[in-house]
Amino acid sequence: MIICMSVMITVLVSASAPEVAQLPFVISGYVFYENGSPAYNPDVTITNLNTSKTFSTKTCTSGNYYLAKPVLLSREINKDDVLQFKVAAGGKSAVLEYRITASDMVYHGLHLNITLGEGAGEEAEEGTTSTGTGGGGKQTLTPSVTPTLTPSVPSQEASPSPVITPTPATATQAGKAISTPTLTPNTLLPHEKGEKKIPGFEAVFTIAGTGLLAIAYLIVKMRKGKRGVNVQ
Amino acid sequence: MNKMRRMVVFGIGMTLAVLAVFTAPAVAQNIVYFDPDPGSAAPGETITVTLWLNATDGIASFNDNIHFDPAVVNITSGTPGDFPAMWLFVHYGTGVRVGGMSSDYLDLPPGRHKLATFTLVANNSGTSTLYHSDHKLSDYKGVLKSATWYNATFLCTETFSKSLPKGWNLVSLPLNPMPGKNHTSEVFGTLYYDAVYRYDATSHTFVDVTEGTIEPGVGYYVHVANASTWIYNGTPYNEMEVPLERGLNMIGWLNCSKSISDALSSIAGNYNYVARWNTSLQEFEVYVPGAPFNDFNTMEQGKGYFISAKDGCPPLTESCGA
Repeated sequence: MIICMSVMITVLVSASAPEVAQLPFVISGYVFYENGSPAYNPDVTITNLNTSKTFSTKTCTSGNYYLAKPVLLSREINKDDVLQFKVAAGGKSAVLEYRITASDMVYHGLHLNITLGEGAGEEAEEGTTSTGTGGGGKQTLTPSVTPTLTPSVPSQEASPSPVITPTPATATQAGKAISTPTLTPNTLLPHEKGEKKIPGFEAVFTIAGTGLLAIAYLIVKMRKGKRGVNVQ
Repeated sequence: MNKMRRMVVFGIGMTLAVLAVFTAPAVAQNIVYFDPDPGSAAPGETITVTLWLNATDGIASFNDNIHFDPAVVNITSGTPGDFPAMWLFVHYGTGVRVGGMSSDYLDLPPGRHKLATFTLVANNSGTSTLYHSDHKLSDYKGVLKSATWYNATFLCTETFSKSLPKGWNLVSLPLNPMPGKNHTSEVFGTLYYDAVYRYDATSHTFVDVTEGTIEPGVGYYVHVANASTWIYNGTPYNEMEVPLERGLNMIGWLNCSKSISDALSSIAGNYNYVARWNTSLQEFEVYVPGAPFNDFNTMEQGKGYFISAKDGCPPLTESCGA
């Protein structure tokens, strides 16, 4: 009976509560060929690999700009989610993965410029992340796709977000293609954070405690001694 | 002995001083004021405002100049109250000169007396102060009596009306609510709503203001339980200066429409995008500066917006006239 009532109350409460107000997250950018020329009318598909949700994008035939329909923050995208960008233009295609960073979450957006590589099997050239929203994140290439997408060089904006594990690090920094790179969150374990502690702190306590005990013992002994004198 | 005498003298002196303070006659405090204050009317409408005297002295006559902003309001007539003799009402464009004496030219006793009743016609939306100058009160001998003359405010109000569909609506106040009428329940009184939130750009959280107060320049998410029409009165919100935090800000807009490039010229280069919520489609629409295409290009009265501001973004300053 009680269970039934509590279930009913829960249902009633959830039914009467308004759905959550939404916050936007905007993904946009430009697509270029390796030689820097704009890749007109690109076909850009963005998928959140964490939720498998695909976001529709808009492009125009006379331009290289893409704009995803604004995403609902929290419901459709979250920090550390990995977005997969499938981009095709002018007979070239590529796949790029990007992990959402804390900086992207602050600005509620990601402006990601993408550069398409030249030929199959070639290393992708440096791309550019935007100077606008986001830009703090790093990208990884998914190899095996012909003209590959290039990862952008991360902007200078410090962000506690993911870093690419060095495989090889130099290539990452240079914006070169990486073979199966993985993203690791830059979250350090407590013991790795280098929290400052006073060395030998416990020992100091022990010494101080022992000293106090010794002093107390001496005082007691002295009092006993005095009493003894008085008795005599 | 001398010391004793001194102490006695000092004590007597103190006693007399205290007595002098307590037995001093109270300073007369005549007060002149308008009622209602503030007065308000829509453009073209007429209201009546009364000028009252709360007298602590006997008063036989008064004179007063009342100034106003003719763009907002006009005093078209003035009729006498308790000082009808030698009644004076002269209009001179940006003010009126009024005056009169008691009917028997003798002092009216202390108390509340009506000096005049004015007819005010609202011209254009805005606020005008009704302020006094060259004023005087005197008794039947012509002796001037001091008084406090309180100015008043006249609000030429507009009515804002907007249909809101069921669900979350991102809105802002295009009108300053009437003084003391800025409680959420008063501004959204015509809506069937059950929740109102603003967004705190510093803590990155929504703040429930369903039972609070609201103001122009701020964006509000209003959850409308049943489609209804939002109607309220106020004076136009024509100028804004809104600080923007790094990241997402939920802001309001003015009582006019402007292209976004013009509307946000004060923060050009310092924001990433502007977004608004389409309640019917349950999705956001976005404007990205410099992009070849956008979902919308104007900022409109009554709507609220999200602005993703870059680090160091200056305040958003804009006015409808600029």
